[in-house]
Amino acid sequence: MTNNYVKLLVQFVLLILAQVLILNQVSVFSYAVPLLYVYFIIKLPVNFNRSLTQLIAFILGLSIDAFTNSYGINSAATILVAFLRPYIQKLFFSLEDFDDVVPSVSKLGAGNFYKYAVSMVLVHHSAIFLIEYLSLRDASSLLLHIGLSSVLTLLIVSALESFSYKQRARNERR
Amino acid sequence: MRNLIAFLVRNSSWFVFIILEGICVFLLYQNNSYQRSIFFNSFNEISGRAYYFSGSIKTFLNLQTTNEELVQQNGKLEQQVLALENILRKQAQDSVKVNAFLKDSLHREMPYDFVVGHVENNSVSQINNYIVVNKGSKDGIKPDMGVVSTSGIVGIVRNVSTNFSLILPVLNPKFRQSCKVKNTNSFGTLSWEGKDSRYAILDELPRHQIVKKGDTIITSGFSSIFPEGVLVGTVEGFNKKTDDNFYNLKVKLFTNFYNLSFVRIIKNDLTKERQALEMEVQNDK
Repeated sequence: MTNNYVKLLVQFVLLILAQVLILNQVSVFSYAVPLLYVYFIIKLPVNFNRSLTQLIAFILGLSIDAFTNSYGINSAATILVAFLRPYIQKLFFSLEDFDDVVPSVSKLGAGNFYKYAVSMVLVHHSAIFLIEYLSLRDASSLLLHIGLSSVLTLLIVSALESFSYKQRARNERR
Repeated sequence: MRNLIAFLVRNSSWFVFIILEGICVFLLYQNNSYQRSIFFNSFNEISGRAYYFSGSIKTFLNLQTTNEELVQQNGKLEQQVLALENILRKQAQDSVKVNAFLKDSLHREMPYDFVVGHVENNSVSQINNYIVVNKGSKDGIKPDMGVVSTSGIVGIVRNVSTNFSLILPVLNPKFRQSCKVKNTNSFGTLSWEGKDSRYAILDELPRHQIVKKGDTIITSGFSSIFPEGVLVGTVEGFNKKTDDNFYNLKVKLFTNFYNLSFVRIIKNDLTKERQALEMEVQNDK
């Protein structure tokens, strides 16, 4: 149990560092910015305490905001996605069947997991860029930002997933 | 109480969500100038609309009082207008005189003097129209003096008694006056065809002259009765006869004969001298 929490904390810190030190410097076509830190919310166990999820999301978003000096933008979007997480999960699989399971390709199956991950990433990115623009005057560039960034984030998520999938398979073989 | 706590616990995620998002919005507003400006502008818009709405309701509720105030003000203004009209009527005679003198103040020294008269009788609808004015030989009026109003030509003094004089207006078939188109030197004869009191005819104007609709007609000054440049009217239409070398212009008169009340009678000190000279030439023939 403690081990789990330590693991989560390490993940948390690593994701924040990766986000602010590496990923925030990436800007493909000047539109696509990968916002990988939402991966932490995606990977929290199913049926994790909802209020606690939101609190974690707040701290996560606020830490990112502290580095990018954009207080409120990332945290608001991350809290929103944490709040919606159970409802999105309910759309694709039964919460009871996967109680306390860490969502992953191997556990949920690729279809379920990617449907869930894509929805989460899209909600999160839409929220972030909507808050950043706060108007629909430049709708095309807003949509480009949301779309390209989501694609990039999902690419990295799938890379990480396949990596852990292979690792687990190797462990099981042993 | 227990129910309340149970309710709070059951829906805690909602409250946490709302509280945390509230904090985020506060942070957003505090730290990001762009987002703040947009918040500010939209709140401004909303409050502006609310004020506009409440203002229009207030205006509507106040219509009764506003109406009463307006009626009162209207009454006051009407009274003022009546008082001013009274004063105006008293001073009109003087102002006519002043206008007459101001008009030619830049011109050469005028041999003309004016006597202002009030119209006592006036007809416009008969064939032979006459105007009676309350100035006569007592005031130095003699036959063949020109008569004008503030807006334009009126007529010529025909007969004079001690206190009254009879004027032959433009609206009489016997009336003839030499007139010209302003800024040209070609002249014709003004007469009346006996139909409409608003229009007269300018005849015998040479056809080589270019005349446009709306051109101003003035007296030519060739007769000693009127000085040059007394306003007559504007060209309203043409009546070009094919076998004729002259224009026949329809002239809209400036003077409104229907509501004529004051006229100026032009005294020309040199009339006599000039007429005597002209008579001499004619007698020589």
